[in-house]
Amino acid sequence: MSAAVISEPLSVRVATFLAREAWLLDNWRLDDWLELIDDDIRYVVPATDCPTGDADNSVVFINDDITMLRARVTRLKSRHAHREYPASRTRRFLTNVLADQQDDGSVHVTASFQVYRFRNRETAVYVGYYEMTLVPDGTSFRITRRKATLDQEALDEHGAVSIIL
Amino acid sequence: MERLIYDDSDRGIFRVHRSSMTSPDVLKLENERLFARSWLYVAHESEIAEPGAFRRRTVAGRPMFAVRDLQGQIHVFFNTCPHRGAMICRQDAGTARSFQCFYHAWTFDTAGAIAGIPDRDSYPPGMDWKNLGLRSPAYVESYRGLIFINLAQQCESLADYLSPVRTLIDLTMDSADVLGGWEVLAGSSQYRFKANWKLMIENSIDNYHFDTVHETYKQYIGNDNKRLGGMRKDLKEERIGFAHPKGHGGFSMWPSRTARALALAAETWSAAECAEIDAVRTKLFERFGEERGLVMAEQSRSILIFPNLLFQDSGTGFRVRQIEPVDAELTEVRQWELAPRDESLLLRRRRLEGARAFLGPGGFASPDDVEAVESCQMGFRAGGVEWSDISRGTRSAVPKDTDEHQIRNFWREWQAQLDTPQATFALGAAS
Repeated sequence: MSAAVISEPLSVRVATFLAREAWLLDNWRLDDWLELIDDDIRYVVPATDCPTGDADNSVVFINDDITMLRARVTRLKSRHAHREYPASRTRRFLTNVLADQQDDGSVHVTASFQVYRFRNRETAVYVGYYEMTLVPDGTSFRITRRKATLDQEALDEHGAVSIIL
Repeated sequence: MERLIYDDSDRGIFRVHRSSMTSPDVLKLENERLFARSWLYVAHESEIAEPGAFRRRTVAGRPMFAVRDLQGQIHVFFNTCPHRGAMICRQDAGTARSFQCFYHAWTFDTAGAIAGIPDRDSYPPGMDWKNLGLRSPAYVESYRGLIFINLAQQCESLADYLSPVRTLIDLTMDSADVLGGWEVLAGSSQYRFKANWKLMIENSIDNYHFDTVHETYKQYIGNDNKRLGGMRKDLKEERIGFAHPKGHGGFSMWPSRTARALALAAETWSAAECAEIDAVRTKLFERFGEERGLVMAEQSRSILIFPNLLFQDSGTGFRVRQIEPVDAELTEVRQWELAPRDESLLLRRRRLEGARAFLGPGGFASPDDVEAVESCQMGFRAGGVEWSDISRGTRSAVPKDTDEHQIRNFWREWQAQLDTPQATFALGAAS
């Protein structure tokens, strides 16, 4: 079975992996999602007016290492995360996925995303693109770098980035 | 219009009528009587540091832009061509030697005067070209690097307007002198929420909600004390609410129980970080004396500059936050972080980490504030309750940060402004 899976083309394996992690996030299986995250993770969401900003020296919305990301999950599972309690419904659409195998065995991925968020009869859509670095983990991957760059000029319909992008 | 606040000092009861936060008529009056004659923030001088540098901004819903002209003078222009109306500045930021309207190529120098008109000979000889330059609000003034405008025909100076809180503003502004002065960092937080703008003004100077709303943030800074330093639990923090004339007010906390970005390290920070903080403290004490230097290092202040600018020198950094109505039930927030120009990257990282965790739109606190104010707005729709109660602490001898003293102060000034008819609106002098 595993030999058959590993013989799948890289693009198929990456697309399957991304679909699975999107499913976990949309279903609020946040602890299971964390299993896909490498301890060396860097998860960044740049500011909408400065998409190329250096996270160490300019304002970005999110710049999580593993400690902060775990704290984020702990927060989102709490009934005190008021923006997400009760939790919103989300649905993620990933397209235009490109996967490049690197010399060190990691995979550089770019993809376009739309993340719909529904709550209190309001809809907000986060539109942007991912840049991710995946490292092999058995027949699957772990995410070690995840940058979600929003195309929107401001968070006009969202008010916050209260979910994980 | 009926008065929208109920202020019974005999009984210590204070209420705000909820129509003040739902009615488009009230917003119309606010635009005429409040935003058209208050000093309104535009930008910080560091954002237009070089000759020709410009920033496009929205102020009171109006497209505007701020420019440093080639001689070094600061201007703020209405972003509209005096010819037929197109926007002159169509980029958020940049540097220009002149501004050309793309519609008919009228060109203006950086001080706003006409520099070129295609086929000028086709105009009659009596054209008043001097009055066809870019227009500015009647008043454009800076205080300690903060650029404001006032749209009124006549008004007091910015320095007089700010006088009740100038010593507090100066404390913050002076404190970065030991590190090259403040500059606005790249990247800002810009978001909208579906609630009246005054709900976020209240929220921003209200510390009563901190313990109830921000449980997850407290857990984060408490449990993971490598980040923000945990709490100096042994310290008795003096937390007071303050209310000054002209509607300005806020709260302060001293000495801070958590790390402060400028000059208070947490026990858990690295030796290198602590050494840098020590160096900054030493410079503060040398320059400003032990007493004032210590306040700069260890006091956090959140100040509302009436009507809609928050000036927050907090543990998690120094920021200005502008809160503007888009309509009665839709508000836009624009928030900029400032940092000392010569701050080390090590401390810059700590500063940004703190700012993101607490007050960034992806942080652990701001999203829940947005939730709270949107929830109030939805609650208003229920009707059945006409007035919101803001009586907490009317009998406090010394107002606490968790009293609603500073919020009442905002509302009293707000009502006073709305009670005063507006003089003729000034379009702004020709440049």
